[in-house]
Amino acid sequence: MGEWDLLGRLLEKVQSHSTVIGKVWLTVLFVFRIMVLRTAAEKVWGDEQSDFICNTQQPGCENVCYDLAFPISHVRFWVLQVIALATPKLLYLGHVLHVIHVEKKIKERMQNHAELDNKAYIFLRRTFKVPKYTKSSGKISIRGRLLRSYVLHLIAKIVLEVLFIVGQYFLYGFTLETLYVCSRFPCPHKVDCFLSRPTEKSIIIWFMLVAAIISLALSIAELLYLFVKAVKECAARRQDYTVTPVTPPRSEKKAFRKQGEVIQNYINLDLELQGRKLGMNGIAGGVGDGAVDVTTENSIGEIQI
Amino acid sequence: MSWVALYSQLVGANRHATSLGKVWLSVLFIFRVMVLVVAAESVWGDEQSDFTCNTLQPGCENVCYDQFFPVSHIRLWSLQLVFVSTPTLLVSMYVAYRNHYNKRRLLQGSGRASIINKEQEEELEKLKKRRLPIAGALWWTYLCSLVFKMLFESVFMYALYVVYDGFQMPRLVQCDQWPCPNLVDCFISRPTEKTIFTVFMATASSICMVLNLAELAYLIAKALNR
Repeated sequence: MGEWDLLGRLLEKVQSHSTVIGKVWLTVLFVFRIMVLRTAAEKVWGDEQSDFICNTQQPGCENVCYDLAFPISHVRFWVLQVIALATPKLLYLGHVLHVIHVEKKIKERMQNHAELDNKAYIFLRRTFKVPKYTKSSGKISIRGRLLRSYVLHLIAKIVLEVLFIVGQYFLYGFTLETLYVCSRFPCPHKVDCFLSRPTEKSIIIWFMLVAAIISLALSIAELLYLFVKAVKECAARRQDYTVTPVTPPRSEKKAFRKQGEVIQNYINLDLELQGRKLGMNGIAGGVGDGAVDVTTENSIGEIQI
Repeated sequence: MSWVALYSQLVGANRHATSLGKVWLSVLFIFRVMVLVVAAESVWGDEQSDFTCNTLQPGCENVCYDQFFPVSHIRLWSLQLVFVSTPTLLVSMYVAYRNHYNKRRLLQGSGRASIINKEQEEELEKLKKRRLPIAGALWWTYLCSLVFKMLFESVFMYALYVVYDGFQMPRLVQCDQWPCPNLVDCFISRPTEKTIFTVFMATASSICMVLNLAELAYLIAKALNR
């Protein structure tokens, strides 16, 4: 069906901005849930009402008993479940696209100001925003606000998954019995009604349930993975802070005699804060003994995906 | 209905939309078109074959079905989606007109219309690919398209509410149209599932209306700031 393709295309766009586990989750969603839904489930549930037979001649009794037994069909329930699970991911995609758009504009503005005088540029640059999420390779890294929205979307996915599994349990249980007894108007008394293909339907229900549990496990694993990585980065960063101070202590500032050294210190400060090395080979002046050679690692404070 | 063709048309026009407009398009296609095609059509699939009346009188079921379902929900929703998508095409028509006008002006500026050098071709291509800022006549066209979208949404929602007496589908309807001999009980198939999907589509429709309102407010605010 062409309609699932649209959802597929949108979700594929998010794939490049997800973690590895997120990509596996998407594959599970597409292969085990959407494809099974389209190819198998719809055929099995195709004759669910026409072959729902009640032991009565009373017109209308079958209709109302079917309606009582299945307020919403399993197939439609799973369609709503897939759409509900895809929604947090699409909201996250919206946020990523917004960030990419904003960063592109900042980069353009930076390029436009490249014509300014070098020194003026250094001091002026402090007042402009610098791209925060784009790495040197041009890809977007998940940190800061993006990381927060990614975690939020994971939590929403987990909550929705649990809600739907529990909802399915309370609506139908996880197996279908062959016999359903119903006594709603206009059925004259307690009437035996027989479902069509209960065993085949139970097998597919179990399959979709296992797929849902695997998806839930993957989402929880992804959350734990991000949490552990964040804790590790925090611990590593704290260690770095105790070893390499960012600015020299006030008493050593007298070591800066040349304007070039002041500028160099400013640059060092900037680079440490931004965590990124920009090529500024044109700046003259050596670095005084007080200034510290700061090592910049791209991985400090950001989660490499 | 080829919804895919409609989607490709709208995506082209969407380049000149605000970000709220892009969100609106995604909501429209994922929560409404997709649910309509994948889920709702199968729910309403057997609406007439499983419409049962407590009578043996031939023709009574047909007549009663026709009385209570003058136009099916599915058809109303499909029409609603088509009408709601059409104002966006207004915007793309205007953009095409502007591009054509710019092209003519460029050719006239060069002197003879037959000679187009490389530079002008490049500029033409740039003009076509450039995203026009929403100001001036484009702003008014966009505003009109938003107003029409909201109008169509509300008209169809109201029509659905009036024709079916609310968003809930009853289980039992009684009818005594000729040739039914007396007041006959008729039973609708899957009323609960139909109610669930009617409420879902009404909710999605309201979300789209809210998005349109927000976009309208944003446009007016932007114009007032200028």
